[in-house]
Amino acid sequence: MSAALAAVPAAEGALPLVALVGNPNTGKTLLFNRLTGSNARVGNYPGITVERRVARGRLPGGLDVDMVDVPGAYSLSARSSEEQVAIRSLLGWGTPAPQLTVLVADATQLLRNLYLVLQVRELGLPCVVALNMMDEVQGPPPDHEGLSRLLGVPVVPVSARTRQGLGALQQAIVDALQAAAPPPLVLPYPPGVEQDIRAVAPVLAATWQVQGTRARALALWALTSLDDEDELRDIPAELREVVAARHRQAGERDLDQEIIAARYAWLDERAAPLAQGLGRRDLTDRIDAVLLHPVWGFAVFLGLMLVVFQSLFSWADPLIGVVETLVEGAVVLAHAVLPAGFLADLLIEGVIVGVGNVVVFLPQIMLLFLFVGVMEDSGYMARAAYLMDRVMKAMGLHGRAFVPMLSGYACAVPAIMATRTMERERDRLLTMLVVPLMTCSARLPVYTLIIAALFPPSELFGVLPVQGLMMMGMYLFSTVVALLAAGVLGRTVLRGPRVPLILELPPFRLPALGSVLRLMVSRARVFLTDAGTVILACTILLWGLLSYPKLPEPGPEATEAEVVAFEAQALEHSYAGRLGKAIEPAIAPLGFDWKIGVGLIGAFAAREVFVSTMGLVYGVGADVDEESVSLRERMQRERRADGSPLYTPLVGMSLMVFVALAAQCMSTLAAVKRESGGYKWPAFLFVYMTTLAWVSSFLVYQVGRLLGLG
Amino acid sequence: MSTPQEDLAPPRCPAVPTTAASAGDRTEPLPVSSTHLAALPLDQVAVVHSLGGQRAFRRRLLELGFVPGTPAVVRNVAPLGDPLEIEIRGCRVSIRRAEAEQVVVVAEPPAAGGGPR
Repeated sequence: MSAALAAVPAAEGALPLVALVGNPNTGKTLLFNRLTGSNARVGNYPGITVERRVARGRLPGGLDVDMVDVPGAYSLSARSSEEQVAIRSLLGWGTPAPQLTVLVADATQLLRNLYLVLQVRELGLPCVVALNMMDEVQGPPPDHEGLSRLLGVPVVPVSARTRQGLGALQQAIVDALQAAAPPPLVLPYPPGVEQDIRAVAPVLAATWQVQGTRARALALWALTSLDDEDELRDIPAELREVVAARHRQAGERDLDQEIIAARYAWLDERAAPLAQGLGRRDLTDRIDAVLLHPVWGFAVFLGLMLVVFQSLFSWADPLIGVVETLVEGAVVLAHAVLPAGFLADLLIEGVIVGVGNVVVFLPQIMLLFLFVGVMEDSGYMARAAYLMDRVMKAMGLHGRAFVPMLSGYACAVPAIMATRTMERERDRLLTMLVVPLMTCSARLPVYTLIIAALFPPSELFGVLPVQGLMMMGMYLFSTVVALLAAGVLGRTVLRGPRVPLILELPPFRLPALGSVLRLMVSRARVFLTDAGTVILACTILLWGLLSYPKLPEPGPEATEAEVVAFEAQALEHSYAGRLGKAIEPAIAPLGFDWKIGVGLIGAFAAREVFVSTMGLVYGVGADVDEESVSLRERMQRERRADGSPLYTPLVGMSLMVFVALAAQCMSTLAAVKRESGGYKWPAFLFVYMTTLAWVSSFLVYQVGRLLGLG
Repeated sequence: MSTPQEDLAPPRCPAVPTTAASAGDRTEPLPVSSTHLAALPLDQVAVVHSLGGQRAFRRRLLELGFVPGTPAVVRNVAPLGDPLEIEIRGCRVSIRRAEAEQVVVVAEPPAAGGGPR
């Protein structure tokens, strides 16, 4: 198991690596942005969905370094593989080991931040402490020289916001990279803990080949981290055994409390006198009096959410229109330039349309991240979570899940990307798994078509429009199902040890425009490069299914009616048509025939494609939209073998329920693949949603028939 | 799985706290003026006495500075009653009510006053 401690060797000629580590909400990411150029490379830590951001920074003297922004942590102790990232990044377990650690501490909440600093200093890692947010300290500023003497490493006061002290910090990084590692801090622990350390250290020497004070610090890490329930990786069995034995022997003693209390006692005695200043909160408290008010707080919150929702729903439209026009232009141009044939078809119908299918999401993604960035950086996102936590908690969701859930009404793809605002993997996954159930805007054309074709305009009780009620009912239905699904999935598939919610309400700050833009661009880039490739591949695959094998084309003298009839035959002849027929026995109990099956297969590209596929299948041409009267009438005329109409209101209900619940959107699946870091969760999402859709439609159709509705 | 001790009911407002009950309460008997953090009036200073609940949760709160002997104040309650914003060691952090109920505190007599603010 010694491999667990072996760092991934740095590539030849690689730059020195500097890790930025700190508590959440310390302005670490802004400092990272200030110290590096706009060239962050975003990847995942191996095996987990925690993002690893690395960017190049230039230091005084022309020294280039790679900086890695380690996810915020209150402590190095860990119980999940996600929390383990902090210590893995510092020691280089499975990731490159940094030459230097920059500990970012919030100068206005210094004592809690110094707890993490102490842990790193006990490990004896070379480090520099950046006292961030110096501009917000009220009262005496922290004595950074005194702290430096106490901790034995450089302590540099900075403000990432005002850029004050950045030069000094960069110089301190250069100096520390060239200096020898400072001796580790050795803290006094109660005699019982010292015995535990002495018992565990030899095992560390045998398994991880660590000695001396490093072994001492890792023994403390193991004693506070390991137990029967932890989900940590690469922990040798011998180490687990000795730690479990020490905990058993401890009896009445609470080892965690003894170790942590000893550290805080040390800090209280020596560091507290050097850090008396607090945060400036008077203005924040006054704003909070309104934003967290039982009435005004929710009014502002709902107003803001309305703006976010409206922007995704309609403001993005003109931009989406531009993208669509550009794609159409490219298609026309390609048709003109390329000789007709397989290659042209592949390039046009597969690649160009596929790229269009990817790019079309960018307006919504960038808009949503504009809002998310501003809300995060201003401190409002934490307030929104604080306000909504009580409601979201009931469904097992995090307070921060609200914004992604709401965005899901516009489109699941940006909403899934926005789950990043939650720190914990379980919270992110749960939100990702239920967001695709919300009524996104791509379902609207399908609902509109079905409602218009099958539910004639009429009023319930003489006043309530039936069509409007149906539409509202679908929204309500999807919301209820999504919340129920969250409750069920959170108690089954995503059940885990309960971890306390920890929320900080940082002071209100003006968001830094550059940082928000950077977030938008980086999210867009991640989507294009990762989810985009999957969407492109799926588009090409679907194109192949819908177009091959081909029938001989009608000659140029064919009338329009003949062409349309040919298109319908070609579709029936294609793989998708055959697939539709093959799945007919499976969808017949839902009231669907093979033609609807083909529409559902086509809808996998995007739900609204269902409408144009139905246009093709019914021989009214692909250029139909949900308002098309010809398609509507054609559907009303469609008969079953026994001569009864196929599209009864009951079949319409069954079809809408199916569209509401099925995971019929490859872009959503691609986004989940990107954000969850693998195919496991999108596969699960597809299976659970489609099963849910089938069972629900089955119940609607069969129960409806028993009641004599069909 | 959890040990029997961790399964004990959270110490809810022990009005007559004569028996040592919670996991963290192994050394000292509970003073009469003890309650839990969630039951504390706003801005009333109290000293952390012990933490109940599961190990992961206890450890995380300890790391945030909820060490026995530390003064803590409830500064704010969310409009729907949950979570609570706590000030401890000059730092503010919001935790859920269910978790605050696991933090046994001893109210400081008003005369002693002061507190972290």
